[in-house]
Amino acid sequence: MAIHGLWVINKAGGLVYQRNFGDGLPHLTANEYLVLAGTLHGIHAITSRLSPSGPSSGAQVIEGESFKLNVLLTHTGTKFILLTSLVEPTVDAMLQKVYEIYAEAVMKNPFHTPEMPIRTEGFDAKVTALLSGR
Amino acid sequence: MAYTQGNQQNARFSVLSSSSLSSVEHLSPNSSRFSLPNTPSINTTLGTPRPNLRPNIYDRHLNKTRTAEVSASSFAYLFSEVIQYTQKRVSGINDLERRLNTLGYRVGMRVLELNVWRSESTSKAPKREIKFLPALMSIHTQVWKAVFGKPADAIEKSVENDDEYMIVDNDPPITRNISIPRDMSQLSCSSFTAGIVEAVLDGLGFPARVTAHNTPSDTHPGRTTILIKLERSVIEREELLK
Amino acid sequence: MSHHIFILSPTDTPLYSLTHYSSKPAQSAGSALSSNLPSWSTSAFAGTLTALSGASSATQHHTSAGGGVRMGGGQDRHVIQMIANASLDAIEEVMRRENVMYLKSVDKFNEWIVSAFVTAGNMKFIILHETKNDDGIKVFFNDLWELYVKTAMNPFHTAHTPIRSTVFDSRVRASAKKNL
Repeated sequence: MAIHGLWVINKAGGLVYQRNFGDGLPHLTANEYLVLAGTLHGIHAITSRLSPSGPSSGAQVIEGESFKLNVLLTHTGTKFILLTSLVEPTVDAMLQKVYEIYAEAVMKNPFHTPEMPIRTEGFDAKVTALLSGR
Repeated sequence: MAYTQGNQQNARFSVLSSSSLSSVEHLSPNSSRFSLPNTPSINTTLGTPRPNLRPNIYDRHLNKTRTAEVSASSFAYLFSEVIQYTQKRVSGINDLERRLNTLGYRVGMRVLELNVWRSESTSKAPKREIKFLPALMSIHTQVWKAVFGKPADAIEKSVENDDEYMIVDNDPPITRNISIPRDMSQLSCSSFTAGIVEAVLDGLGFPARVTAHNTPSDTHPGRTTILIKLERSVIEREELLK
Repeated sequence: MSHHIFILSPTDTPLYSLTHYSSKPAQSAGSALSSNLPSWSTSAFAGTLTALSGASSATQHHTSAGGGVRMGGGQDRHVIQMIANASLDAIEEVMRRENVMYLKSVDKFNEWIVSAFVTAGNMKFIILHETKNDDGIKVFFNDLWELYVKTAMNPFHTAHTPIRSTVFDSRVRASAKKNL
């Protein structure tokens, strides 16, 4: 039961927000994160194309040995990625909450440019309140 | 879970304006130069365009929208666009605040007339507010309720200057979703609200310079103070009225 | 019998005016020519034509300055406007002291009684009338108030600019016909 990190990837595959919670994750440089996010965006695109039963929203969970990546794809193509421990039952609700905070604090903020990195204090504060207290 | 925004999701502001139907008659109906296409509007029967019977602002009762509400989200997006639009056309924070103030002023003039009409028109002898403190109180409660759906949180009088008063809102609804970038930390988007207050005071005959300032506290990060600096003439008149 | 109605902005700029001729019996005949004129104040010739039609506005000005002498028709546009403007001082003095909106018979000038109504936003409605009709004027002012607030709500109306809406005009006339 732990949340390790949150990524937000824009519809072009650029990483617009990345945040680690706790000390579970290795420290990577900003560039490395950008590359990883781009790769994940590609993998997600592949999985959405491969579906045997018509159009698909692509990969939703990618599981590793000790953690999993949970993906929420919005209608506009923005992806929210939550890195959690393997057993994390509330992850879907959590992703919805993050999406809600994003809609409130980022999209309604006149000082945010769409598709650009999120530098909005309100988003930071609310995400912290939601995720880091756990 | 510390996150409790859920129930604010469907927040609503009350609707002030009854002007969603605009009238166009001032475009001089006799002049063909300005004639508008006779598009059938929702209120006229399709197929029988009757240009002179389009919905008219004078046919709407002013209390029609008295208890109506508008989605806080819709307003947030609109206000966000207003700020972005304005920001492209100004040079610097002061200019931006001044323009937001001007926009608020236009709202405030209407708020004042409409609110007073709604409260006084049924009375036998309609009254105006001629003393400053009751006027300030009515801004704090009536105007705030009409515009934001809740009263403001406090009224304060400046200790240093006898011509300065403050209205405090711990969490102004219109700036709830706005995060000011660090390089603009002086900016307060509540300048719009300051404009509303300025218009109401001006209309009532208490000319003042009204500005908005961020005064965050630990419990209320969005706390905003609307600072009212009255013109000297108002103070002098108040003295005479005592 | 005529009524002269003015709407003035807080800076005392006239935004709308109307001359209403009541169907009730007139005290003085007035000027036949001027009563046939469109009652819009914007008709710049109204005063001139009244003068041409026989009333001597020049002498009227003189007698009014002297005071005491009752003027002839008193229907000269210029004189009417002067009386309305002169009453502003009286109105402003009263509205600082009294908190009511309807200021009845606030001023007097020869045969004219001046009643006024001040809205919350400091718009002034002024009526020049010859006979007392407090209740009728009150109802008329209430109608005018509502119509004015509706005008102010129109997003295409700029505050404190002349009101040119034909609907507004016809509603004001209808109310004047009914109440004055």
